Amino acid sequence: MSEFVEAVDIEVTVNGKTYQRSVEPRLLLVEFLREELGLTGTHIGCDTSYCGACTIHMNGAPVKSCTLFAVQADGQTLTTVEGLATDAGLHPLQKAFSEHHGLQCGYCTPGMLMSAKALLERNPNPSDKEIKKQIAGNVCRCTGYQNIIKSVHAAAAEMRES
Amino acid sequence: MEMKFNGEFKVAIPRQEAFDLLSDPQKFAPLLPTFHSMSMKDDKTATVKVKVGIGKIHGVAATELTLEEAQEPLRAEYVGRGKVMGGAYNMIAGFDLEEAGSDTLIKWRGETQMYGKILSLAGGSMRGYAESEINRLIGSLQLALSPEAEAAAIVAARQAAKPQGLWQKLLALFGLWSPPLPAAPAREVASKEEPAAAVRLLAKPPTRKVLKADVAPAALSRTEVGESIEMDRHGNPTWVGSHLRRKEDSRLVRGRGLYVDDYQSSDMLHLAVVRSPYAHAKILSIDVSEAEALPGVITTLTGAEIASVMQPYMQIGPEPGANIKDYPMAVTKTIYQGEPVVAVVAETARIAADAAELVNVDYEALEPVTSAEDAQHDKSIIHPDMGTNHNWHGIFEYGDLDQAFAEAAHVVKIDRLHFHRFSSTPLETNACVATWDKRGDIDFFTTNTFPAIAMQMMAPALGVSLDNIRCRTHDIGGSFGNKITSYPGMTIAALASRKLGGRQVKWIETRNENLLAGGHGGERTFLDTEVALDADGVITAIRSRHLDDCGAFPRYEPLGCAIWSQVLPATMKLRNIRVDFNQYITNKCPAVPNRGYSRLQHLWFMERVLDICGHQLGMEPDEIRRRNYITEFPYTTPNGCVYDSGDYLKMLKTAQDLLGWDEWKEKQRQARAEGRWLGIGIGTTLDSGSNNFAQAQIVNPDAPFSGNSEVCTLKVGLDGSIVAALGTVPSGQGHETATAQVVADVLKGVGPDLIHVHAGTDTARNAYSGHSGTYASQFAVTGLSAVHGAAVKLRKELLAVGAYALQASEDELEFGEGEMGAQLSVPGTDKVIPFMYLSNIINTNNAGLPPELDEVTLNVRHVFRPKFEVPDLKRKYGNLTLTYAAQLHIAVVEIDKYTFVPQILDYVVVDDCGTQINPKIVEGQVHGATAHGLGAALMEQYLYDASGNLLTSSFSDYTPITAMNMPDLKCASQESPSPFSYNGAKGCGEGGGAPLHTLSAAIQDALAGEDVVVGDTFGSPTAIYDLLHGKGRRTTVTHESRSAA
Amino acid sequence: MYPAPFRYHRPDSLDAAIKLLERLGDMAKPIAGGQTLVPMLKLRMGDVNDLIDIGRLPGLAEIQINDNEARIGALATHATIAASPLAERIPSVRDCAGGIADLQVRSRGTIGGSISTGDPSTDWAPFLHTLRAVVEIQGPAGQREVAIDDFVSDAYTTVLKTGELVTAIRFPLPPPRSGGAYIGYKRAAPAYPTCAVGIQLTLDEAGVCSAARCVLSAVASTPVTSDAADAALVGTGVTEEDLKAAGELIIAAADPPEDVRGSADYKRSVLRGLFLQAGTKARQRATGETIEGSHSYV
Repeated sequence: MSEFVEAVDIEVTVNGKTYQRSVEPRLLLVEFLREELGLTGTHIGCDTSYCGACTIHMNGAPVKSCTLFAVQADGQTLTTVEGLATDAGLHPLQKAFSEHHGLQCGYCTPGMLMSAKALLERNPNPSDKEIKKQIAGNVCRCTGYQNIIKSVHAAAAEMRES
Repeated sequence: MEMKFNGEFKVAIPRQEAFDLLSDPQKFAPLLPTFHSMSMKDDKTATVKVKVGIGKIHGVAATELTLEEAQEPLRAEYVGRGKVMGGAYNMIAGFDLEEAGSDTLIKWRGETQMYGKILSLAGGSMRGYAESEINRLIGSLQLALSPEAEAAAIVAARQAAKPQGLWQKLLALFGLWSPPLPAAPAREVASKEEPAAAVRLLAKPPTRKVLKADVAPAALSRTEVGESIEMDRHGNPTWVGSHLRRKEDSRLVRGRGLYVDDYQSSDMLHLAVVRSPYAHAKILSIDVSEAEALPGVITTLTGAEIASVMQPYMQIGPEPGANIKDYPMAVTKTIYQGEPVVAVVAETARIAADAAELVNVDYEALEPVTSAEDAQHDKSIIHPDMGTNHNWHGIFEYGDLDQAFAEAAHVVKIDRLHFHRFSSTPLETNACVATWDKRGDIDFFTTNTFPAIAMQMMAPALGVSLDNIRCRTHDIGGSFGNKITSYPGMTIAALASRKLGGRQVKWIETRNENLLAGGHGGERTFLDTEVALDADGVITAIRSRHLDDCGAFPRYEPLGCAIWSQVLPATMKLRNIRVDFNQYITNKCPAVPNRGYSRLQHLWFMERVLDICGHQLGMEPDEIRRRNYITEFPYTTPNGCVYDSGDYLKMLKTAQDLLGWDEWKEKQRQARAEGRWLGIGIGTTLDSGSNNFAQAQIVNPDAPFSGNSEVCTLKVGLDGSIVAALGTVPSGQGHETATAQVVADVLKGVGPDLIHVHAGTDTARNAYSGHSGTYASQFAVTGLSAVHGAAVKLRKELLAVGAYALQASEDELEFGEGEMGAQLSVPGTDKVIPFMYLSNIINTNNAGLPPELDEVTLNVRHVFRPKFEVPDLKRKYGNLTLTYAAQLHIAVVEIDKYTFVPQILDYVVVDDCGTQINPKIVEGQVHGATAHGLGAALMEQYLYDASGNLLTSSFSDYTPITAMNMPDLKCASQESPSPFSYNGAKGCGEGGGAPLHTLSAAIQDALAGEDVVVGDTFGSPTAIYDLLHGKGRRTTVTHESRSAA
Repeated sequence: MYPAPFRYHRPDSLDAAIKLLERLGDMAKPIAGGQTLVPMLKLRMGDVNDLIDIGRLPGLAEIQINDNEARIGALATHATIAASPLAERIPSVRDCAGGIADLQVRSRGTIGGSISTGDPSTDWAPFLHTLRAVVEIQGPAGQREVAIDDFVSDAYTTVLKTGELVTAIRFPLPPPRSGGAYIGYKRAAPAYPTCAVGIQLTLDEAGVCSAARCVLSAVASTPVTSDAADAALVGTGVTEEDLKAAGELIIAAADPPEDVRGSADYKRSVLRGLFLQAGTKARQRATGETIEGSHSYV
């Protein structure tokens, strides 16, 4: 195909801020976030939609941003790990992960937080099994998941109280 | 992957006619069902383009097809080779023609070897699909060879069928048995369709925008640091030993870490690597012209070019391995699948990837060697300069074996045990940004976790001084030892930067590349093991022959030939051991250190031996351990290593209580009565930390390594800040936090929130030695001893300046915190001075300083060197490690009778790593090491086929352990302080691989009634199925009892 | 990993999408959720010139329950289906929808996309065999319907012609005293399943099976069914013995490929276990019990 591939104009709202960019159609959403917007908290850990390090929310649902093109996110509302903390401080999940040592190298953490957040938004008091199923598509190579599960429980408890 | 097919069919045309068609490439090639176009290279060789496709995706693949043999009118044989999507293949297609009356009987056979990632598609389930495609093809061949068949009809039929199957690419291979059309030969045949896009590019890529970051750089403000560490010791008198939240977390939970790929700049270039689809092949030619013509491509580098501008890397081992010409890219031949062959540098990573697809490399496949056992025969030599595949040999013999066997009450023989290939697959892959600037300095922003070694490897090879190389790291997404050997990739990036006048070149490995070539944990086979036991079940002697498979390049690996002997007797008190240790080169990914490096293989072997003996003697696994454990410490092993402290019996008791051993034994009895496979297994393991590099001299007496060292610099900055820099290279182990704890305890009164510890390492900070790095469970001892030493030095200087400034004696002074941060004061008086002013006196306002402060800089550097001796190299005797942490695990598993899944019903972990610096971090390491072991034991395996294809080269096939696969761990710990570290701590990061021992034992116990021996670390459901159904290699055990007394 | 360049189109109607697909031909591909296609493109397993984004076409994501029939729009995601009243009513629908890959993939992946890939390892196409579903297709020549049994013709191959798109899946609501189950076995949620079994049963008032439909997934190029196995269950009480006997009939029709997930014999063994589990669960559900089903893991 020798023709010129047109860049596509897109508008995306990320963490409450709207961006307009012109992108190559093949640009993955995760690359868009990292390279175009400088939001490097969302990571790439595999290429086959296994590890979940790139998990973000699109219109409130957790998605793997390495398995979406940026053009598909045109007009959508995204939340990344950078959007979790507010002026009031860290999200309860962020606090709980630190408090309960739910992270070591930190590479999977943003994706893990976003998957966990999706769970707590619809199930304020999940069981161990529900947490495990929720993060089944997020690989962590450091923690053995034990403290991640503990952290999600702790955050759930804090969110229930507040 | 190799596939062979054959068959026969009859056609109603004369033999000569059939032969004429089958033996003329120009007539034959256009008959392929997926034919696209062709040209003749010479009268026997055609370059044929065929359409290939997966589902709805189509492409074009090129095949070079040669008529290798033509015996008119009996036989025609074609040999082909070519590229398919994500791989390559070689094939042979032969036809034998026999007359059958007026008809012709055509006997056909085909063989193909396939290489590359294409095989891992759909899990490598190639064969089944291939067969169905071939059946279809042969059907159409028969149809087409019928005299009535009209060419047009066949073409029409093909178009209507529009085969869209995944394995249409196989038609490209097997299509060579396609029906001859009764049509006139054509010199140049091309289909009418538009040539499909072999090259499709952006003629003009969208303008790249200069990055505008929406978040602040990762540097933390002081408030964030303050917020990040817990300031509550929970009653603990010291910071060391407190369950503190980590400093690092503040940036990491916000997504503000700085990993290599997070570093971006608008003028950075991107490097992609073209890798060999073959495990073993000669490089015939490389054509980079198409790639270089692509807009946005800056340059390419081939192995030949690289070899012309650098020297091969130093080899750690002696001859013959020392003769290996080790370059970061293949020069004349490739020796493992995934080996770099060409590098492409472009303006964007996407263009680099596009260009990599356009590089044409012509290979000739050579016979691959895919196991150490095969490598022994030297049938195919991998490194011609070595002349053999036998990289290293050494005998480790201690005690009196003959006597022990003569006196034995029992002799147990085990013919073969095998430790499989896996690695910890850190979630971030190998990566670097390299800049070789015009001054001749090379800067690496890297993920390498042992830069001291990387620099010592690269500097001589690149012809620069070590001081010209700067390595810096920030956040690293896990390493587990795997990233120690990323220096070949770093070298390629650096050479690319030099070629381009010093531009920044970023190299990021993809996951597929990481699994193929990023480094695998070592594989080992244990042959001809003989065990002597006394009448009480105490092992008195073991002799065995070990074959270690280090993959294609030894690199760091010769050290593994000695490192295992740090734990020679494991946790057992036997004194007579003989191990004939061998390391072999194979056509597989080079082996690298992996969590528990070289020791876990040996520890698994020893534990497996112990359990097999227990089983033979009818002795329970806890009982035989109680009889064999070392019980007195410090304990000098038969090879002179000193186990510093421990209490294995207590660990066993704690674990059994935590599990509810007796209750589970009862449940097991019931389960067995019901015919269920329920097993309980124990695994005891050691994690030896802070090693003595003199073990390198056991491998190679000329190796210039011994002892160990680590460095910390600690200063009071001009503004009074306390800043530590480390030679260690953390990748998640919380070094910033533990360092702050140690310093805060020395400067008692100053909290860890006021101690700033640089993230990562930077050799420009002058805080490194020749051993600096993070590996071998040594931070808690080697690293923190350096920190402690630096803190003591700084404290002394601060007190000296404080005493001068406050006109007080040093004894009166007390550290504390005030409005201006850390300070010194004289309690009970108004004498107080913040560190900022102390620094001012020394650094910025120092006229008239008294002579006693002449040596004070408030910027100290401490090098910690453990007291090690060089071992007796002849006897291979001496202390190789400073500390020995221990872990004991117990698992209860039940194996499902249909799926053969060993479901973990209960899992207990007891660890003892001496004094714990930060129990939270210790617990995290214990959990993580357990998950790695369980993943390896149940799910994770680098599986190669006989052609040297890695069949598990994506996460979807390698399947790293997930939360769904993890049992809930019941954990306990005990502390046996080490007498050899200043604070009683032991290294604990590696964990020792206990789950491998434990799961093997539990699976064995579950299958106690099945007359099988668990002889492999890999206990996946399929492995268990194969074991029970007699597939693969079995382990045979014999037991000779001589208990006459 | 980076896909090769392509052009992107987002037509705003089904007709426009079909016209575009027809005009651009085989080098153009439709993309809905993209959960199969995007990884393929990243691996550069082939060439695509144009991607036609059909993910937002209106009216194609609805899940309806009519009098005797359920209808699932092609663009309904696995997650939406798993949480729908339909899945509440027919628990095997939730087994299937909720067991596909992981949460993130279920948020994006669509039922129409799943069946259109013809991937031998996917779940929807085989599962829908148990409900005797019909696939609604729209294309340049108008609408047509294809029984799910005829829809997947080979590995990665369906009967869809150039320009045709799946618009919905329809199946009759099972009669009273029916129950079904769909159980897969995989090593981890985001991994390919080793194999899966689906069974749909109807019992009479005496608890005797009056209708049965069984299917096996990932053990041949296309979903495996067996009229003999279905017939063998009819008239039985669906006991363990009955299931074992019927299981052997359908497993004999499977041709499991040997791969990294196991040998053919191993997979047959797994199928036996899953068949027993799925059959038991289906029977229990047919008698009104509430049984949670899900995939099993290592």
